[in-house]
Amino acid sequence: MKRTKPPLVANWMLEHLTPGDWDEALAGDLCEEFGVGRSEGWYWRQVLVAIGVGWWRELVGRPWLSTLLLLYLIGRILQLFAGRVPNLIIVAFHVIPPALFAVIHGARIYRSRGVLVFAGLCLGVGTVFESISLRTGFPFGHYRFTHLMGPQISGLPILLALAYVGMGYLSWVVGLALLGGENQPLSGRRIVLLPLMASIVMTVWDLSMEGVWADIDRAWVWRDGGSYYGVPISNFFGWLFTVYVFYQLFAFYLRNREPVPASADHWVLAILFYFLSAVGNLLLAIPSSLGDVFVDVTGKRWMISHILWTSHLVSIFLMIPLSLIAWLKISKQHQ
Amino acid sequence: LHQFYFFSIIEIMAERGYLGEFELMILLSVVHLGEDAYGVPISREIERLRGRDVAVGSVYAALERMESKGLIASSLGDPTPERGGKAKRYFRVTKAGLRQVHETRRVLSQMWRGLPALEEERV
Repeated sequence: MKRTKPPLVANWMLEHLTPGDWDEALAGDLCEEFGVGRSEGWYWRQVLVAIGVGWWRELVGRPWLSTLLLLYLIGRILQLFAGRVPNLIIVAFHVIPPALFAVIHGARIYRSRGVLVFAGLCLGVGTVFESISLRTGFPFGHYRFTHLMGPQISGLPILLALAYVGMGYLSWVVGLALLGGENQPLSGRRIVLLPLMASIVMTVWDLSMEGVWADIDRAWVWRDGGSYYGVPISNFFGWLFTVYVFYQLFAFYLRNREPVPASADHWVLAILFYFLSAVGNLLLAIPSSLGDVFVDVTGKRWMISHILWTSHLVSIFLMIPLSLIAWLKISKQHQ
Repeated sequence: LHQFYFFSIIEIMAERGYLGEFELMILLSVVHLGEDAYGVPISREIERLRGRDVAVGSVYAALERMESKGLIASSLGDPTPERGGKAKRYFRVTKAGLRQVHETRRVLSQMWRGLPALEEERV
């Protein structure tokens, strides 16, 4: 028996996954054609093409942001060729595109002054806390950087500081979308709730990456090991604390300031970036040059496959759902 | 010489923003359909002319692109039950759009001069 109503899931996808204003007329046209005998397969093809065409137009219409997204994706693919591609290039592709994306994307919402304040706070607070921790062990724990991340100032890689700006901004946007009211001035409880939410989103990202960067890539070395694949638990509370401080300072700066209202598509691009960083984690594979086991400084042995699986699981069960919920909330609020 | 002439016309077309094949087909379909020009009949007309399926989403993308250039205008009709309660979006060609169609025809007509016939047509 032929169904008289178009597939529900396809309809839902057309409504929620197509960028731009919800095109009621297109949905009506597809419904009308389905009613006069088009197949479900035809309907699905039309919906998928409409979503694809919509995204293509969206990305082409924002060439700078799209190029940075693409460069980041190239970086995530390059990580598969670690050993054959210089590490510094891979790190640069991981860090510089998100940082530039943050500046360009953020300037549209917070104006150039606001985004410079954000970048300044990320760099300033991040650098100060990393420097203190390198010397005292607070707040992250005791560690030292290797030369994998390139040039350093007082033992701190310059590229690491940039990572705070890029992922810091993307996590801020995801947190903002989860909390709602992204186009309203920051006031009331949201002045504290938003920094808390964004700090959790960013710490989740670190949870997915820490073992990989420390144990597999050897970008830094933990002096005393730790119970999370040789990483001390204090590292994650240190992250939560550090990013909370700069988010909170930025929230104070934004208090009662009118943001420039942005479309759902603009917000979704930043969420998509965070989503792609999670998907990029799923591409991680064990480098052929590495053995099966990582031995931390205390002599404790960790299976490298377990470290990768943990990164995959955090990405699948935390990062991807967080970005999808943020995406849905944004598209629902802008309908 | 012919080759240079061909490329110079292509360059002129790009500079003046002449219509692409798909856009031209859509614009002509909107002209032919008159007051009944909305997504479904426009897509069917193009399917009939090309002899293969067309993605309605691509038709809308081209329509919106041309609307932003001022070549067509659109207005919403009333919602109908057979469309799941959704309104039709009617399109019409603007004066600028009509001028663009004529200009594209003029340039393409020049390019078609001297087009060699296909083998089967000669026989």
